[in-house]
Amino acid sequence: MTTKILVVEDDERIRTAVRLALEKEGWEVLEAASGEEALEIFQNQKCDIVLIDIMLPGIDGFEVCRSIRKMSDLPIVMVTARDDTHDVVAGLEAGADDYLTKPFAPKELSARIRALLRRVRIPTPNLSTLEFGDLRILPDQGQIIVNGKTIHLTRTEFQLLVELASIPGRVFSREELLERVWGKDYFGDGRLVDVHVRRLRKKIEPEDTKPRYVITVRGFGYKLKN
Amino acid sequence: MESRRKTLRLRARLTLTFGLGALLLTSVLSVLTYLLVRSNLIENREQSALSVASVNASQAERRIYEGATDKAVRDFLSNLRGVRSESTPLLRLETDWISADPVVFEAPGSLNSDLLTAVSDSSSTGAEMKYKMDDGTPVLVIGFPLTTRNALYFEATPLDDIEDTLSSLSNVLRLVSAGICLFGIALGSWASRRVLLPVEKVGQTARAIAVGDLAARLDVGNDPDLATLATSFNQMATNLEERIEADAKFASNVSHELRSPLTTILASIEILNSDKHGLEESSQLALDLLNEDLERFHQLVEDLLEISRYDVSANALTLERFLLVEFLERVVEQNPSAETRLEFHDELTGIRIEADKRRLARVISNLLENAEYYANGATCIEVLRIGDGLSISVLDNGPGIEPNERSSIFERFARGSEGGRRGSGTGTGLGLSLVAEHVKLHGGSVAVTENSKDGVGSKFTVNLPGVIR
Repeated sequence: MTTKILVVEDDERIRTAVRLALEKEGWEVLEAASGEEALEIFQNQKCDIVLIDIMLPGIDGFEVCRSIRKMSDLPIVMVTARDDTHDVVAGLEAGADDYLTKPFAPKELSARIRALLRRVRIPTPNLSTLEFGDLRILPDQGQIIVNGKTIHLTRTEFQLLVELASIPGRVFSREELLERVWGKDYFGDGRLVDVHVRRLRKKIEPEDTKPRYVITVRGFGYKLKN
Repeated sequence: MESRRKTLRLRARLTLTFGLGALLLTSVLSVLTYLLVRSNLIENREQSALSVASVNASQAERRIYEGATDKAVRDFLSNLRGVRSESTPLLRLETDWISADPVVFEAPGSLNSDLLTAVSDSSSTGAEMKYKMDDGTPVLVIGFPLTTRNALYFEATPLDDIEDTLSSLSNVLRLVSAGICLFGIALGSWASRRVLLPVEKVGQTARAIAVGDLAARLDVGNDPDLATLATSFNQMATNLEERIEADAKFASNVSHELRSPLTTILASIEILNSDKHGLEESSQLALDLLNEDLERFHQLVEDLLEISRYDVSANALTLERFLLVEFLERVVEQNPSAETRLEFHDELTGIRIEADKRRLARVISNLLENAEYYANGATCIEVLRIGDGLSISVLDNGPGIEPNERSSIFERFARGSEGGRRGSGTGTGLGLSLVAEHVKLHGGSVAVTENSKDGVGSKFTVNLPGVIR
């Protein structure tokens, strides 16, 4: 089955060119010219990944992102006009997994998509379950259980947690996590990691201001407490 | 070459003018005062001495006429009161000289012979003369001829008291003159400072604008003379600010407008690239040209967008802590010129710095790229620790940069001279100005000097204070 990508972009020329480029990669593309249209398509058709331009007429990209996030854990890539802190962080907080700034080369875009579609790696194949106190990770089922309750994580959040869990207690630098989870090089944006850790904590920590599992090691990175 | 005429500063000139003016005025007044007082004092003394001497002379004449003995005349003379206690009467009877006791004024030795002649020859009005005695004392001598015994009456009055008074007066006047002159200088200095204060303020504000504080304005105040200057100056500054803002906004708008078509073009050309093998040879060549220039155009737009964010002050650092050496190794790795060595002291291994990683990476890679374009690549990156700061230098063995071009190369679209340029790649012309902006945002500085290590080429040094934390 081919991967379906929903492209939400109001500029028809960009949309068409991006569709053609993505189709060259062998993916199927669904086009939406507005936020409303995007949500309608999303509800009626199954897709695997969404590309959203923040600047949209009507409901904007952030809102579309939040709405989709309520319904699904699928990967979302934001397209921002500016790479300033406000837009990027707002996009990530709205639930995006990654972002791109215009103008971008289609190679960058397909690299992002491929990284997000990659299957979660299972660090220790002989162990089907990883346990940290009340936190249980079931890598082959893509699930985690906290205090006996199943918690939904997005694919990126899940992969981030599994990476940290691969060697419990070891400190992972932002650069390492960017490379392993997002497929970025050393110069990737560390804010991706920070915002996703924040989101992850909200879901798994009993108190997200006093994390018990995902610990910040200032100036170094993050670790999963053993 | 014509030697430059030395001109004193305006303030010094004003102060000097005030000082000299005060000196001139007070000197004239002092001299006039002195002369007036002097002539007054001496005239008074002469008149009183004359009248006293005249009375004394007629008394003496009567005594002699009444036939007093020489002894009685001497006693009489000793008891005479002159105009001053120091006044000394003396009398010539035929050829004998009789002086008052004690003898203060030695006659005829101390008597001027011209005066003696003048008195002898005068009928009855007498004569007077001022001169200095042997010991330097000024003296006024008045003489009358008497009618009997061929007698001459003289009265000598020392004028040393008047001289003393005059010398004190002249001292006081000199002192006052000097004081007034100093006061004039002080007044001149104060007044010139006061007058030049607005000029100074204009200078300060102009300097502030020149270094980039476009919002600097003059305080208009309520002095109508100065308000005109301040208002026009502020108007000029406002126009300048608007103009610069408009330029920045224009650049920002243009680059923003370029983003959408550029995204379309980048995606479209990718499709052509994937079908490249089916194209004719000339079309393939055209596509290659398109690809190369599109890449440059893409970089230019990215650089313009970045720099226009500085113009509208929308830039803030995203600080991260990371390993310095690892970071530099990664930056060098990304660079095409693999011959660049990384030189640092062992103590820097394991050091973490706090900086905006993306921006700092652009700084180093732009410097490496610049060396690539103009100097056949960087030879070495030298890293030094300075306190809690860093100095990172990128060295090359290229043709070097003329001293007069060294500051202008950090300006936008500045291009180095043709020498040493390789191929058609010349970058966007914004690389070094972005380096300067990024470094400035970190509170640091960048400068270019000669590569003294190798004796040839340039050395770009970035100073980042306080990044080691």
